[in-house]
Amino acid sequence: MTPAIETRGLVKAFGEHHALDGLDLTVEPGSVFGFLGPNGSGKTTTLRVLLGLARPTAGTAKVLGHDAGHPRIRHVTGYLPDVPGFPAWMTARQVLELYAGVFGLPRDVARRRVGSLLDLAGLADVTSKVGAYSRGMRQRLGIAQALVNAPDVLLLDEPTSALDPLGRRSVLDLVAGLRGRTTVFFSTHILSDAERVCDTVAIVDAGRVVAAGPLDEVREGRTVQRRLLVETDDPARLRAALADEPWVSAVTEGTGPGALEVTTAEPERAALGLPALVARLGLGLTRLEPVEPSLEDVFVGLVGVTR
Amino acid sequence: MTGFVALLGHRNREVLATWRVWVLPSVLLLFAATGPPTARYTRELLTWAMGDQASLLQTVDPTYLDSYAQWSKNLTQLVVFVVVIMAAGAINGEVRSGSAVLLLVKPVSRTSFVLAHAVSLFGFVAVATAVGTAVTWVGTWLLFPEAPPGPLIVSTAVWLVLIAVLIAMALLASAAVDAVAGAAGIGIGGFFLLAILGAVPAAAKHSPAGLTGLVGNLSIGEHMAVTWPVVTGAALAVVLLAAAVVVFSRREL
Repeated sequence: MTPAIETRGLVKAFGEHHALDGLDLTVEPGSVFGFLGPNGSGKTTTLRVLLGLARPTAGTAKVLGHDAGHPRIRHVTGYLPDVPGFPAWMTARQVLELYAGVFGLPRDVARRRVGSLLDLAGLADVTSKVGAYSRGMRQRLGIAQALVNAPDVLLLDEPTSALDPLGRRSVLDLVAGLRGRTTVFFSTHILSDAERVCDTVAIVDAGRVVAAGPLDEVREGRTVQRRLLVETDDPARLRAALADEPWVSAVTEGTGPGALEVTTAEPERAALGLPALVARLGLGLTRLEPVEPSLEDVFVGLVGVTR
Repeated sequence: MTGFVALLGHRNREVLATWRVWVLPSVLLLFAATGPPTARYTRELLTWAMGDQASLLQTVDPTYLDSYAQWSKNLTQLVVFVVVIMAAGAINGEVRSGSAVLLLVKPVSRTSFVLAHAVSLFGFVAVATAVGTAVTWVGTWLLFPEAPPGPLIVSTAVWLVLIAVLIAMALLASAAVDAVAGAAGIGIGGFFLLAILGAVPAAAKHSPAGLTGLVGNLSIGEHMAVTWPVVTGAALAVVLLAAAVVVFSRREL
């Protein structure tokens, strides 16, 4: 099956600086793909190249089998930039009607779709001009306009960054609801958002993919540091004793009374050493379990060490 | 030309919904309404302002040609700057605001984007100028009943060729330069360059450089050869627009 998005050795240079430095990426059709990376890692540049707004210096970028920038792509993609810009004199309805007209939607289809997208964006009753909108309202209108052509590929650049918790939740629910029908390419640095809706992720740093694959595999396979939750009747004594153990990287307060989180790069050694240490100290052990690694653990492990 | 029709409709609605619908027509109507009485009553105004000293000035009886000359002077010395400034912010303003990107990732070609701006702006200027010309003629005819519309119409038509060149030049600058002031400077610089070249007789006779002088001369009823300046002016406008399309198409957004 043709990948929804595929880049091979993609390079984008601005003078000496390489915003993209050999980016390899494959996004399967129907997936919700999280494109993660710190600020300046090349996420927005990748989107600009895929949309034909910028030309690659080297390498290839394809969307649904077409070279990036091919006119056909514009009919089947939707795009939300990180800061969407609209003519200030228009209302939300006028904006969506304009874009529906640009896509050549039949009048009745356009009317129905604009109405439902305004409902979706929570802007159906807003009659003011876009120029008076808050950033969150613009973002919601931006998401609505990206869906006006019912796209096969939806490219979202930091879609939740300007939203309040409720708006964020509705966007994430919307994205999750598109799974299987539309390929969603979701660029973000909010890792909890990616964990919530993405089935596949790529972590990009300095213009290169440093980890990619199904979310669970990336989380499990790329975790450098593991954490163990240990709960005893005297956490202060245990904490003091842990300071002398060579397999301990860090100790933090856990959630709950008497709980500590022990971070280690040697999980097998820690699994044996922790109960032995608790027994040696004569403490009562009430809980000992691994903490599920988060995407943040992977992210920090892969890109945090260099920053 | 993908998306041209939808985009042209959008541009026309934009003209009607924003400040543009007020500024240019207001300027033109002001000049159209004040030009004929100013021409007719200049002597009286001078007498009122200067008293007995006004009799020392040798003035001839005013005619409708004074009114027409006033209109053409206003077009070539004032209105051109308003139009150039409007065109200079057309493309780069939308790029800066982010609204251009949202259009251009949809089925809208960059050619359509540039040409819709050009057609809409030129059409708007032409309609507003036609209304201003009609008001000028009616005002002149009321004060000088023998006034024929011909010289006014011909000189205004030639001015529209000049303005087409300047719109195309300003749009090219707007496609190439991010700052509105910079693009406006290029457009205004182009206008002055044409005016300076117009002082060279051969250039004035055979190139768009002759358009500015032609507008004034035709308005006062002089019979001039217009073919070369008009045809080369129209051709230059087309070339500049094509250049604007090429420059904007190559630009990364």
